[in-house]
Amino acid sequence: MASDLKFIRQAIKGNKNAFGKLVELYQDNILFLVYDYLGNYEEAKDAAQDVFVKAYENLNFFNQKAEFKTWLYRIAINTSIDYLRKRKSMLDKQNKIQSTLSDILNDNTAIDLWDDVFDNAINNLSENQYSAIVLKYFHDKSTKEISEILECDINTVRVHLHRGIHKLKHTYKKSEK
Amino acid sequence: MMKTCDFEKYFIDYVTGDLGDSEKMSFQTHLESCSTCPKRLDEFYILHNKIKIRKRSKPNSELLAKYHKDLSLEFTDSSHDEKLTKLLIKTIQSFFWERSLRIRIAEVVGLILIGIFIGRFIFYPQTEIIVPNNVNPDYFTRPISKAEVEYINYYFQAAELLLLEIKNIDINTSLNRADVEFNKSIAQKLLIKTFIIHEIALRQKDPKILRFLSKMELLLYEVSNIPSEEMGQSMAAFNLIIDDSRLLDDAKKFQKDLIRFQESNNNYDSIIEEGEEK
Repeated sequence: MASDLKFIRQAIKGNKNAFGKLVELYQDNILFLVYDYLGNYEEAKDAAQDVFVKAYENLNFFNQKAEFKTWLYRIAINTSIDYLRKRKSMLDKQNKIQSTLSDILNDNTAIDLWDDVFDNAINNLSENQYSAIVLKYFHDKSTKEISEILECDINTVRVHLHRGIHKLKHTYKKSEK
Repeated sequence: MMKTCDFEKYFIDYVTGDLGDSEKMSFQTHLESCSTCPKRLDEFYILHNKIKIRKRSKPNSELLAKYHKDLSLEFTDSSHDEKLTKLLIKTIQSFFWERSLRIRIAEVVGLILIGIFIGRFIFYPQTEIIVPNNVNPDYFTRPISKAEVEYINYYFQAAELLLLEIKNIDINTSLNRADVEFNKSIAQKLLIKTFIIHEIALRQKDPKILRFLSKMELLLYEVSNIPSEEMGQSMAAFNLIIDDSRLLDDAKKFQKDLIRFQESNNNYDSIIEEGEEK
C-alpha cells in the first residue's frame, strides 16, 4: 500500500508517530495471528508487542518493494514460533510435556474453541503446514500471499496445505471412530 | 487404500477460488477423468467447511484495550519529561521484579556508595580558603599595581647587576673575600624578594617570569649558601649556569618590557602579549 510506504519512509527517518499509524492499522491482525499460534491472549499480547518492536528496530532492512503487511506477518509467525519453542523447552524442563497445544497451554481463561480433533492434529503438523493452514483459513490469505509470507514457492504452499489438511482429515476420521 | 493423486494439492485453491483460469480448466478436466479425485474432493469439502467455521475466541476487552494503549505509548514520540518518567518506571520495574536477589543487593550497595559519594560534596563541601582578617580578600585576584611594577623592575635591575657581578669575576685571579661576601649578601636579599615576585607572577599567571624565577631562585640559593672558601670553584659553575640558562638576557628583556609598559600606561596583560609575540 502506498500509504504504508509513506509512513515507513517517515518512520525510517525517526518519526515514531508514523510507525504508530502502521501499528494502528495492523495491531489486531497481528494479535489474532499470534493468538492462532499461542492460543493464549495474555501471551499473544506480549508476543504481538514484540513483533512491532522488532519491526520498528529492523525497519531499515525492510525491502520497500515488498508489502509491509507480508513482512509483518512473517515477523509475527517467526516470533510466535520462537514463543512456542521457548514455552515448550521451559515445560520440557519441568517434565510437563503434553501432547497437544491446548494441553500444553493448560489455560482455561483462553477459552479455546478449537476442538480436540483440531488441537491434536495441529500438534502433529509441521510449522509450515500449520502456518499455511492458519493463514489460509483464519486470515483469508491467498496461496500466493502465503508463499510470500513463508518465502516459498506457490506449489510448496499447496503441498504444505494439502499435507496439513490430510493429517487433519486423518485425525478427524480417527476421532469419529 | 485409495491411491493419492497429484491433483489433490489443488483442492484447496479450487475451493477457495485461488486457481488461475488455465489451472482451473485443467483441474476440472482432470476431475472428469479421475476415479479418486471427485470422492476425495467431497471429503475435502466436509473438512474444509469444518475448519472454516471454527472461530477463535475473542480477547478480553480490558486486555485488548491495554494492548492498544501499550502499543500507542510505545510508538508515540513522547515529550522529554514523559520519556524520563517512562525510563524511570522501567528501571524501577526491572530493578524490583526482574533481578535476582544477589544482583539486587549489589545494586543497593552500589547505589548507597554513589549516594555517599554525591552526598559528601553536597553536605560537606570543600572548605573555603581562609583569608586572615588583616589581608584584603581581593589580594589574590586584584590586578597588578604600579608599585608592584616598580618593585619588579627594581628586582630585575638588581638581578642583572648580581648576575653581571658573578659573571665578571675572574676565576683565574685570587678572589677578593669582601666582594664575595658582598655578592652573597645581595643574593640573600634577592632570594627573599624572589619569593615576593614569584607570588605576583603567580597571581598574574605569567609563565615567562615564573620560569625565570625558578631558575633564579636556585642560583640565588646556591650563591647565598656556598661557603666562602669554595667560592672560587663554584664561580666557574655559576658562570656556566648563567650562560646556559640565559638568565642575564631574560633579566634585561623583562626590564625593557616593564619600561614599555610603564610608558604606555597599559594593563599588565600587554607585557605578556608583547613577550609572546616576540
